[in-house]
Amino acid sequence: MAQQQDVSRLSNRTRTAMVDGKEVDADKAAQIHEVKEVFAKLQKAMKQIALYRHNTERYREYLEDTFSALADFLQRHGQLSLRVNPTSYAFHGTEVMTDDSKDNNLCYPFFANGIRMLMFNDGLTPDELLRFLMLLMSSDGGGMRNNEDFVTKLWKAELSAIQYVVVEGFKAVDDENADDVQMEVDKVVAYLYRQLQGNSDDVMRFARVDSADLDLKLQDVDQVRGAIISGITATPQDKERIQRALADEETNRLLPKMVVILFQLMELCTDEKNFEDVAEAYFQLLDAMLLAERYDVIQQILERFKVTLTKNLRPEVKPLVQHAYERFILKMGEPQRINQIVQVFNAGPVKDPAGVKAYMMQLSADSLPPLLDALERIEVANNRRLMCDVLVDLARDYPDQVANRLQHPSSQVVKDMMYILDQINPPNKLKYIATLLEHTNVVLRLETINTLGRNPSEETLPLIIKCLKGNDSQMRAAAARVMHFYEPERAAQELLHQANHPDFGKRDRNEQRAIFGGIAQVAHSKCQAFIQGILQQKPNMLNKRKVEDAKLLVIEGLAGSPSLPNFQALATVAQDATQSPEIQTAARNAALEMKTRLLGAQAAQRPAAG
Amino acid sequence: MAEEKQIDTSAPQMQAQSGHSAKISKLGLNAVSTLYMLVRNVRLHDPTNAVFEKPFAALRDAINTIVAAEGAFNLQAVGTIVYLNGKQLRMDFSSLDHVKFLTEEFKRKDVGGFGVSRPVQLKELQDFIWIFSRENQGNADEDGAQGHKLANIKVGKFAKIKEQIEKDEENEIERERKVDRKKYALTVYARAIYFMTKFLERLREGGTLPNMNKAARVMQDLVDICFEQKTHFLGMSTTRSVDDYLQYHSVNTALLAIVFGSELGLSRGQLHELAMCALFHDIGMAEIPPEVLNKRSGLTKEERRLVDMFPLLTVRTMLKGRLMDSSTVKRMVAAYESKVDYSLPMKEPNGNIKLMLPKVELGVYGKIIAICATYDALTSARPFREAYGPEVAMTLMVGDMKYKFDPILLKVFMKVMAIQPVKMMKKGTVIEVG
Repeated sequence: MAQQQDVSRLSNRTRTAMVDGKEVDADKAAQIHEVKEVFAKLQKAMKQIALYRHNTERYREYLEDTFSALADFLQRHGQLSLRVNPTSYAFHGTEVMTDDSKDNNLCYPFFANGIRMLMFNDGLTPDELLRFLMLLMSSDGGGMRNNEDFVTKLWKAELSAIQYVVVEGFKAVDDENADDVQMEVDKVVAYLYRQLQGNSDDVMRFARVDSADLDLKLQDVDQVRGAIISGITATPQDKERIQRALADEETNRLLPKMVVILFQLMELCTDEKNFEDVAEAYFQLLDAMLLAERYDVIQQILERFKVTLTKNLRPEVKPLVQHAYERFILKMGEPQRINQIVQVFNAGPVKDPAGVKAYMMQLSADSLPPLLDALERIEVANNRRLMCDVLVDLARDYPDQVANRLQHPSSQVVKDMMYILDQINPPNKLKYIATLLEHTNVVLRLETINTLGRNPSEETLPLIIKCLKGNDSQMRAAAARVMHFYEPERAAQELLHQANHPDFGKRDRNEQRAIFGGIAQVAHSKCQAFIQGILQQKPNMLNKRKVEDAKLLVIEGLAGSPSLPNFQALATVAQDATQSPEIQTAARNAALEMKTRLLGAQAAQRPAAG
Repeated sequence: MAEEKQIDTSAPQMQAQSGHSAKISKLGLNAVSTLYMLVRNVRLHDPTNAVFEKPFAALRDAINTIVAAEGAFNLQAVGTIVYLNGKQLRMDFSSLDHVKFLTEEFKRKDVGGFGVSRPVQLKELQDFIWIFSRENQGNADEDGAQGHKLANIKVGKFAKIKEQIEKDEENEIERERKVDRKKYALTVYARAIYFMTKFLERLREGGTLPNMNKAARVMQDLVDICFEQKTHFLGMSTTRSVDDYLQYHSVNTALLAIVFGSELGLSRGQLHELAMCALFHDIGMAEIPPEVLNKRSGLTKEERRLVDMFPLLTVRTMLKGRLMDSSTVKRMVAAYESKVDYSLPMKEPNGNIKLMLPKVELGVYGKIIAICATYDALTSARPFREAYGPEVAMTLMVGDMKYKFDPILLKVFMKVMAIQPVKMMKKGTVIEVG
């Protein structure tokens, strides 16, 4: 607004206007105003881009306003030439944009790299503007790092409508004095001129210079070498083949080749003095390959280490190779590298699951804690299972480390640990798993009862009985459901004790059903008699509801334990005319449902034989 | 003794100069930082306050050291730009706010900077800083504020210094814009030679690897010159000294590679990569003693082993940088492969020579560098032989040495260089390529 007011103070007589307190030509003032608008839009767009950084597809949309305003300006004026200051751009001597922000600063990267002028020309495309801006925000991801300086990146971007002027002086090494350098370069230039202008045949004969191009007057030139002919040198097919080869080299062959070279170097010219340089190269290659997900090349390195160690090496080299190999393995298992794998695991399906698995299988037991930590952060189920399978092998001799995490608050982590322990199957597995009966998470406690139940032993029976007699109704129900896995006499004794408990009637329906179901599944005469006793009980006027309830409970209990004897028992009740219609219907429905579960839906639809 | 040694050798002298420049720059940055602190706090405390004792002493020491080293201390500061003795100080982004505050305060008192040509005393610095105190209501004159006149320090007026800085910067930009691209080619070539001279010099001194990326701008300029002019400038060989061979050979190879690569359809970015690969492809040679490299007679077995090893020495040298980014890996692989033969000559039962291709496919950059480097080496004079003419060099390359190169690329190279090899008779057979 202030700017508009400034511009509106246009004096017709002088054709000047005030901009930021300065009197400037009226046309320039209008242009300055326009450019300020462009940069206001640009800053807004950059904020949007920074905010929705991941949403790269919409960058172009965010920049639409900026581009159309800029393109409009360029169409009318041909060029926008900006002076670059550390935190601002100036146009016609007036600051048109200031940027003090630390992140994604739009000015400082240019200034810091010696760029003092930026020029946007007519013909700028949205794509070019976007590429230009992305250089400011660029971060190298995937594959190897690239430590090119900003000007090189800008130069490589091949921007045709954006130009820049760099004033930073040439230096060969960091701490040189620019004047000294210039003096030295001038000396070389003078020498070259002398060479070119001299009469010595010896010199001229091998000076491969085109005199016209250099604007130099060469006399007595014996031979000017290497004039490039015009016309076709390489065919389009040649060029295409070269581009294909370059792309293939970069994607597939560069890293494996580097591995081969490194091993040659290690074998032939590595000693104590340069060992650290070579070792560091291996570690950096490892990081690059992890970023590029080239687990195959990592395997190649490991194989080569093994092969090299079997070779007849110089005596002083062998320990170095061994040392490098051991350190390489250690580096592979360091937390930051395992984190990289976690990132890959969380990004979706893994490109090379066998490769990742092979990588992790190489790690030593020292890497077990970071790997177990990493497992907690993996969110993709399939990849978590992949990691679990690796841990099964790595933790085989260290089940304690897995068991230590059984009290983890996350149920997922505990389930993973249970899976790993289950697969490792250590002698004291059930002892580890039993600790989960004290876990705060009820689901885990219930699953533990199931796991223990599936592994009936003298060791676990007291634990199950403890649950059966405990205070938690859900735990009691779960324990009742697994009792039939144990010795029938003991199971019958415990379950019948629960069924006949004075408080039984007050217990949760689900628990009652579980206990009756448990009884129905125990192959013991006392249990069968108990079931039959209830089913055959004749109700009288006073206890009808109670007897019917008990029968329904038995039916539900039988239904909850699908088996042929239980099906037959249900079928018998369904056909027993002495039973009430409610009991018969319930028994029939339960029998049909069990038939479906036992034989499948199609078989269940066929009329029952009985 | 140590001083005598420095006077005797030019390399340490240059190094000392470089160190001097960096030291002055560091002192300047310290002085600016202290000035900011003093100017900010003088609004709360009198300059004679004890809290300022140490900062004033530090400022005085920095100024007087610079005066002793350079004969003067001239500070000019406008906006976020600070010049010390005509050279711009490179500020960190984090210190720009401080600089801005300082220059705003300077501007408020019509100060654009100050100059000193003799050592200053503490009292005078206090008087200078007093200009920015709350008590001082007026602007500063060239000799300071009323009642606190300065004898040694000359205050620069803001407007005058601003104008001067802007003019200098405009001139600098204009100089860059108006550069004569044709003559610039030779300067860039000279810069590349100078760069490699310094680079190899530092390498031979031992220690860490000098920054290879410092050559990036020079190589970009060479690529641009090649693109703009379709230059015919293909480098030079020199007979100045055998010791200069490596830097000239490296730069010539880079230049030839750019020209050749552009004819092969490489993009500017690829040409830059190629040029950087070519420039450093032989740096391992710096590790081989000159008496072996320049030996006129035949090499001993051990010397031959050392020379054969030098592609690996190049890689070993590059590894000193402890940086395995993609550019460096490309440079190492290209340097190594430029010395690997494209094919293996095998003698068939009928006596014919058959070329067998190796299993590993060589990279494009390595193959280009192999051709360019060989061509430059053959056409350069060495202590153990005269330089060959281009036709002879090419004849050798398509004849006895042909197994070393990719035949398709070699054919294109011949077209690029517009050189037809002379037909030569060898063992009764005419070898013709082209």
